[in-house]
Amino acid sequence: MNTIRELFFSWDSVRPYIGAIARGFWLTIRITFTALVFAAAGGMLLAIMRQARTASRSVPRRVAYFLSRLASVAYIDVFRGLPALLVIVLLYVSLPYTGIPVLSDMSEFSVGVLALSLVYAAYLAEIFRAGIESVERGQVEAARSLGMSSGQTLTRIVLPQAVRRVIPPLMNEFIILSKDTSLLSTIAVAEVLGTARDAQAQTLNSTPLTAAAIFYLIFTLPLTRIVDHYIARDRRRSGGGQVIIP
Amino acid sequence: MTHAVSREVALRVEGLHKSFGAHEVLKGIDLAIHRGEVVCIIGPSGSGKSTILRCMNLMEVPTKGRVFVGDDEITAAKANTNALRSRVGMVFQSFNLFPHYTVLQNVAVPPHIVKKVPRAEAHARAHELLARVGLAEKAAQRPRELSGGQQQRVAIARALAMEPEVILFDEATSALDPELVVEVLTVMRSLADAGMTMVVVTHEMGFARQVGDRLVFIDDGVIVETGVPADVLASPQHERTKRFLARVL
Repeated sequence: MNTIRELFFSWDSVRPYIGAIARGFWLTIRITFTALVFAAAGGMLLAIMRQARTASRSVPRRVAYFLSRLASVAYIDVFRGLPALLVIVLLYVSLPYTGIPVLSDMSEFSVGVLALSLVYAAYLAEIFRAGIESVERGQVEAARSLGMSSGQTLTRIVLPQAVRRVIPPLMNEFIILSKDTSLLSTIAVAEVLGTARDAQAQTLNSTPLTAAAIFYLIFTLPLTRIVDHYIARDRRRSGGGQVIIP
Repeated sequence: MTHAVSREVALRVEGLHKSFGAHEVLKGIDLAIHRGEVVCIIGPSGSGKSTILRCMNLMEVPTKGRVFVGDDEITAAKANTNALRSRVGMVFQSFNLFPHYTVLQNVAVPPHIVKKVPRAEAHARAHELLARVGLAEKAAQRPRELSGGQQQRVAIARALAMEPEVILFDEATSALDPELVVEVLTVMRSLADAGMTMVVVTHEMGFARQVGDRLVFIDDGVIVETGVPADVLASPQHERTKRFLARVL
């Protein structure tokens, strides 16, 4: 019992490193939020591209819409089908040699954010798409019958309702993203897990990892509660059925 | 009931055909609606009456035929569909209010974003229209807090806010509990009395008789019979009209 306590809960072993682990956690938070912003923007764009349909008989326009759907589906399929770690490592080892101005001299932080954004854009696109498809056809008809353009209908009527309906799955994805930032420890980003692992290696004591776990839980547990609250509220409002599960 | 009907045409369809796949729903419809006129369309379910209405504002694109709003052809290749649509209001069976807006916003936002009516003016006008349909005190509520009849009255106010030249009612009372039908029909009647041009697809024969200037009976994608509502309802000329009315009256 004492061995266990010594191995996982030894304040003395973690004390010299706690500042570094806290800074690592702060970096984790920053990566999570930055990647979320890019992934949400990309995911929204992909979702809109994927549901692009036109009643127009003009051939160029129909072809353009088809290509937009095709590009979106291809992107989503590829990035959902790859492990995030592979994308991270691939970008990390390849970008410096591409010779492309901005890309070839990105920091580890930027490469990590880019990789996570690329992967999560695909996941968020599917969630946004489910939200868009859940908005009743009658909403679009009402908006168009009032003379709104398809763009106005999308931004004023469809998307506000779609996004509201998918807040719970979006937040779930946000929690998963925050945990996936730990993958960046493999490319020397000093986020919380990597920092804790270094401390463990030096002390041969696991308490730094316990500290990292506690930091994560401080962040993820309240979010989990908020998601449950949202789901319960939506269920009350709609009498069940409306909540979209990805 | 006859309203002051102008000779000017508000809405006209010519040789309207509409097919869904191999199924031809409309088989050549010609119909002109005059300003101030209330035209009621009746017919069996599946006869194509809603499809006519939905072609009138291009919710459905006709397979063949032309649709005019005033003198402007909405089916023309170069037509500004959105602008023409804003001249034709539509009230749906399922209300289709915007749930993320308040009742007031449902009425005020469309003119603001479509016709660029200044926000304050759109709000003032929306308050007037809500008062007109008897819902002034509901302005701040959400649609889901209203009864079906109240929601449909908001939907009528929303259509009116665009100042349309004609309003299409697609079975506007069919989704309502019987005791809520009256309040919606009352609002529709007051609109008709105020001179609004209306095309009303309905099962309410009483409304058609009392408010309609003209009754159109549709069956199997064609206009079978048309005339003054009281006459058609009392002494239908065609066998199909007789059979239909025998079932519903």
